[in-house]
Amino acid sequence: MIRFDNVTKTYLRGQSPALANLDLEFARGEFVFLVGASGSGKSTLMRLVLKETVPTTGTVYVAGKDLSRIQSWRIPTLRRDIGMVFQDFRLLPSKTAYQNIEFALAVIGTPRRVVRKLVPEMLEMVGLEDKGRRLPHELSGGEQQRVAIARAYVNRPSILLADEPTGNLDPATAQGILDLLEQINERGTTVVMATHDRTAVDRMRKRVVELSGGHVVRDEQAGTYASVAPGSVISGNLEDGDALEPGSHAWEQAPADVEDEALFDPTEGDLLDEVEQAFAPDDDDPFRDPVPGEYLTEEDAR
Amino acid sequence: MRARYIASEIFTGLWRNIAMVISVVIVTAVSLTFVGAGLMMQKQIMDMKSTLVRESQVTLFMCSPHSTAATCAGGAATDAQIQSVRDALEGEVLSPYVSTYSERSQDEALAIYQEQFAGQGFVTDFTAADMPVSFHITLRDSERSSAVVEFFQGRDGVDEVTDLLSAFAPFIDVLNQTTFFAIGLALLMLVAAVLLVATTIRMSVANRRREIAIMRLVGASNIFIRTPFMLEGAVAGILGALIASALLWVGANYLVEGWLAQTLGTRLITVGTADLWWIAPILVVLGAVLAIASSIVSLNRYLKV
Repeated sequence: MIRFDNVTKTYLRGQSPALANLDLEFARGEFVFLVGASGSGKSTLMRLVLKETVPTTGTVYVAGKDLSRIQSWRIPTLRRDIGMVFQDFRLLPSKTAYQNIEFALAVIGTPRRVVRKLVPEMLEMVGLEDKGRRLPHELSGGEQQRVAIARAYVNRPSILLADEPTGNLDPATAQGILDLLEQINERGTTVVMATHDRTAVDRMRKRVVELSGGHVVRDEQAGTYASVAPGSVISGNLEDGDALEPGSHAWEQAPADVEDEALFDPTEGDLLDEVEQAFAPDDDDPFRDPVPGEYLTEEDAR
Repeated sequence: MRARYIASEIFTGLWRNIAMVISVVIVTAVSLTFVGAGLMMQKQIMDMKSTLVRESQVTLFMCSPHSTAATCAGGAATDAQIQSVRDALEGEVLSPYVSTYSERSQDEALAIYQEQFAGQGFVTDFTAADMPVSFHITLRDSERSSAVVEFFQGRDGVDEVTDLLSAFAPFIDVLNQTTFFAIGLALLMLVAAVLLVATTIRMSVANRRREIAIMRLVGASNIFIRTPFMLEGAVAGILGALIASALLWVGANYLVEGWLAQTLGTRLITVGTADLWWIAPILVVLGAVLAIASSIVSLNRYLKV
């Protein structure tokens, strides 16, 4: 489904790569956890799948297609087959839950007849059939994430990318979200989830891929968050940087995190950055729309 | 494409930027009014010139018993003098200039005179003998009328040589200058309109950055993302063009038809409200094209693909 063939991604010439000689394959229908510290290359990996950025060397295949051979005007078609879920939900604050899901269909030209059938189905699937008319700020964090998942899945993509989808949620709510992702996975969609959520990874017992400094340091079937694998950095088996000579890590020289990439490479259009900036709180404006997930709701606090 | 979705996006976009949109509409309207006025004036000039060309551009009046010019000291023009003018008009010297000419006899002149002043008491006091013989000359090239005028001016028996085109030249000149002025102003205003459209689109993009981000993420095509913005500009441009057409109608109806044509005569003033049937579509297309073009430029700058 997704294959990285000796992929290296360097954001700035002379810097150490965010991904280095990556060979990785996710099979159709697989559920994969991506773990690793911030800056380990998880986000870069997702960007490459969306063709939001192109590899410096190597080839990325999605659904059997070599992404470097996809023309720029065909990129929207590629993205229609990939759903994306974020940590901070990124729902449109002025649209209701129903309208948020409807939006994703309407903007790709889905006929209204189909939209009227699909959106209620989606709301039912994520368990919000009676809350379709609520605005995002009238929903709890978990409910907002369900709407976001419904939006990502309504077009029945064959791949779902989730970037720390449970990062803003309490454990019980997070479990509900994981169940939902598993359900989507059982319907045949390949799910790739980047996470720091130890509980989630340990409970699900799915494939775990750990990245560190742009390298795969661990790839276990039915794995756990921490591991006895000798290369695992997050398990504390290896100190950061032990495996490599000092100063070669992506996070030491390359962008500390994804936010900085636009600065480092202004010529490269970056969809994820743009989405992030679009939803970033505008601190100058006290009357701005609340950004989903910016504040914990009372329900989350409980 | 979902027409209703796009329509509602355009409306929301226009409504959110209502102040900017109003200024775009006003500036476009004013600039296109100047463009339309310029078009009308140019049409008037062309009509006037063709009328003058069609009619005899040079009129030559022979002396009548009442003429006071120095060349008429001998009283009414003699037959010999009239014949010499005829000969000259058909002669070799003037043939490069003269296309055709017609001669108006004293009887014909009297008939026209009586018709013009019908009902006035003094008309009956005149007889054919009081009237001048006249020649109405159509030139090959109306720009070269002076050669003919100079040829006849000052001849014995020739009272007056009038050049219609040169008589109207100042008027045509004024119209031409005014056209330049109007088009100049129109260009200046159109620059402002284009910049305003660009700014409005930029604000509109900023207002909808979340929607745009999600659209790109879920795979909306570039055309789909851009169309609402481009049409938003086009709607403002077209509205401006329609207002310009209305302003021109008011001007043509009250100023041109109601006053100018009454004063100068409809034979001379040929433009009017009817001309808006071809001017208005030009303005609408111009407004839409300009707005869409500046939208595309600003979208390329502010909207990543």
